[in-house]
Amino acid sequence: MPDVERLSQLAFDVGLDFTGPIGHAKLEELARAWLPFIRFHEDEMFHTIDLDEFYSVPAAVFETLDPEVQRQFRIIVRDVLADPPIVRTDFLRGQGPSAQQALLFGEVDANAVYSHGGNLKAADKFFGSVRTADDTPVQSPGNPRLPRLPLRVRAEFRMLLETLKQDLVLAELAEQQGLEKPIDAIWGDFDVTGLLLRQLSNTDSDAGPASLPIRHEFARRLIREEENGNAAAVEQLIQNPPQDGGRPTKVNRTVWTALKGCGLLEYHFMYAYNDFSRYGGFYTNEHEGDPNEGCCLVFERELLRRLQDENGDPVTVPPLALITSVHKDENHDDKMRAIDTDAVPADLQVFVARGSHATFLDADVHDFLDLADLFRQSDLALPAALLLGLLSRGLLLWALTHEHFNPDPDVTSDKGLTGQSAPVNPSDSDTHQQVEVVVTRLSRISNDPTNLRDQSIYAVSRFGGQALALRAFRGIYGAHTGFVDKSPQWENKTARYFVHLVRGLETGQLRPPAERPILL
Amino acid sequence: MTTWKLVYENRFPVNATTGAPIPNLFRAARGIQTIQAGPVFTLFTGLPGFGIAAGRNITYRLESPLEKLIGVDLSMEFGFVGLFEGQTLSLFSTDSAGLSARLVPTGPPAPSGHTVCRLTLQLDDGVTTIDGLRFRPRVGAQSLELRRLQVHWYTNGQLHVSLDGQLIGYENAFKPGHRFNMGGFSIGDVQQPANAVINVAVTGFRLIELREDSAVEAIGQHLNPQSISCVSDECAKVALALQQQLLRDARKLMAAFVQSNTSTWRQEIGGNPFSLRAVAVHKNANLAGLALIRYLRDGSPESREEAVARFKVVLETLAADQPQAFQQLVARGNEAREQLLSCCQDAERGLRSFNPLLFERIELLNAELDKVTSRLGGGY
Repeated sequence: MPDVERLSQLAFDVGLDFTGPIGHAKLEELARAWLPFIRFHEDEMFHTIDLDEFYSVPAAVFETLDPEVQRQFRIIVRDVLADPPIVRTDFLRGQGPSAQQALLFGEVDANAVYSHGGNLKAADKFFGSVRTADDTPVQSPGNPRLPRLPLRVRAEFRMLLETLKQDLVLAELAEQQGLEKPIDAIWGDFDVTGLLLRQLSNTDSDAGPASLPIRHEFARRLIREEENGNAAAVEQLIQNPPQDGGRPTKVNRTVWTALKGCGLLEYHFMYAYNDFSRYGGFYTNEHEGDPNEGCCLVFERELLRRLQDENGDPVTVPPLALITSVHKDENHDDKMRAIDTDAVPADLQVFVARGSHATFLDADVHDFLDLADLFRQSDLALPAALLLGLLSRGLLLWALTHEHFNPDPDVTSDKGLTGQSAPVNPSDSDTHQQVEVVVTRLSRISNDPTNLRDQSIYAVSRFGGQALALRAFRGIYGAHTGFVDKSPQWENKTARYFVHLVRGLETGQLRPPAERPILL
Repeated sequence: MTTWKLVYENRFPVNATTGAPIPNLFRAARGIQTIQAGPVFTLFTGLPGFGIAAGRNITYRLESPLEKLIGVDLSMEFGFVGLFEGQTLSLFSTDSAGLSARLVPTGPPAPSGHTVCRLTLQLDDGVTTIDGLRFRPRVGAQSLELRRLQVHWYTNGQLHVSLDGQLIGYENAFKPGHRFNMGGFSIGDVQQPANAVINVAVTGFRLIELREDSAVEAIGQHLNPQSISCVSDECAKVALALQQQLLRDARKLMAAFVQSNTSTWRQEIGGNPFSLRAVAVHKNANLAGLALIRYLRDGSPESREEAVARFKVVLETLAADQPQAFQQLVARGNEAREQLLSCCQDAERGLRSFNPLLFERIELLNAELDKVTSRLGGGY
């Protein structure tokens, strides 16, 4: 990642602020109040952890192992035998208890890889559940596997208007200073101006996004007028958008409504390993590092502004919608439900599929299917055809078996462990555990230690460089030793959730957000 | 990566303000949805659903037609508002010579409120019916009785029909070897005159498909992406043709096995449509596939042994049941290998160099499977 001091300075220079009218301390209350109940499947081996545990836990467990066992779990990096976990680029950058320190090196960027072993055996050893609720060897409905570590969830709030504004600031900086964008795994991944300003064809039909400079400039002006409270100027801009290379353009009003009226509270559920294959299946998904799961709550900007100004109780501000993340964005399988205006936190729950950790809204069997127009005409079909001809015995049988059976589905359950942010009633303690909600500081940057409202992870003099380095890491969370490494990088899902929000507003599935009152 | 893929899925979510279903919020391959005969969605007591009837439907036209389909699976959840003797309801149909499902009440409603119906399924010129299905249309303020129909066809000739998760009909030779293209489909039917009475409320719909070369694509996902660079156009052409022929032959063998080991069946007949031998092959093939994936991933001898042991049961059963077709398939496999080795030597070397571990593991597995096939008289 880039030098943390330089990142911090850049953030100061532009007055980085993702949360706008609501400050960090209030957001912490909000995130804890509204964390949905997290319903894990009783079979689940890996439960949600936070980023620092990817580093601290394998090192701590490794220390306790016998030397003979330790030998089995060391990781080879270019002929160097390293203690887990490791961070490497072309060569080893950090290992064992000091692995996390490697994130501070300037060269450890998007090309870097984190690993605690690259296989299920290592993940089980370091992170896997080791007991069930009643201490019997086999889990069952009502007797779930219990997490090895206390449950932790990372929450991040982004007010959409400010987030787009900061994205545009970074785009300008990138242009002027030749910076890479996104600059890290936090900032610069929310350019939705292509949805906001659209070109029109001669027949007034949609002709795709307006060109980048035009739509960026337009969005900057729109945001400026909105921030100034100049509703008439905003309306004037929307009604008279700029020409783009001689073509007319049009503003998508729903996109603007969502941008100016909503904020997203994203809960990141992170797991050490995707072990879907443990539960059978021809679905080949399995990888080390599974940090991109979770869900998101859509809040109304105006209600949050009032919450902050009146120091209100977050429980009185129900979200508009709950959106969950199901596998990859291109599969379009995320789930969304509208939330009633009289909802209370206890109404919200999400269900985590065993192994894959896809997050659903109910306890059920969910067939996981790629869309028919995805992955078609894969170039790899050609060598695969050759392979099938050359080695036809086993593969031919496999191909027939593979096409004969439908893929194994994601399975969610309401008879496993429940994670909740409120303290657990002692009578439920065998099946319920409290979740620690770690809220990333994304509010206005300030170095004043007494200021609870304005707090930014980029203020390294206040919160240290390690926190920023950890969250900003753009490398790969895993080095799976299978044939195709599917270990992911951190995915900022704000834009992905935003598309669902816009669609929900367009179709009426979601009620429109509250408007700012017009002052007379 | 999944071999069966989603064409269209709609759970008909509702408008937050009005409670009406939103038919335009669905998950699907790229295409255009058209709702025929105006705004046909409606709200039924306590349950929103998309109303279809004669002349009222949803049509979905795919941006790129799906070609060479060898499997299709349709799931539909619906409830009836009205069922009228002799009036045919088209539940679903694809364009061209694809699959369609129609329902017709064969008598008046019984005092219990249930109406007996016949379900007709058609694929190209293949037609089959299932009689005696009982549905209760809603009367007055009654809640809607929701039912879930699933139709699953695969090119080996197997057609499974389930209602509410229970198998109600099975065909063992329904258009074996057939494949078809699909450019779109309809829920409901526009061919008939529009009827003012909406008599079916659809609350869920899902269509998935299997293409002829999906399994080969899935195998490709196990390869190093750089493998593509080592395969020349000429070699690719030969390899694709041989692979398709091999798979077709193998599917034919499976179709013959299915016909001799399962029987056409209806729920009222009782008994079991599947012989013990068919059940054993099904189970072992499934477990062998899982073990093989584990083995390819971790290389463990235990997984390989399990895969071989399970495949052995499958191979022995197939060889005993279809000796001639089995021997022919083995011979074709040998020929294919010889042909590829003669024209794809460079590609083979390249493929091997990019995927050494995969080749090593598959060859170990093949060595053990060779012993099995040798004993069965078709040694490689």
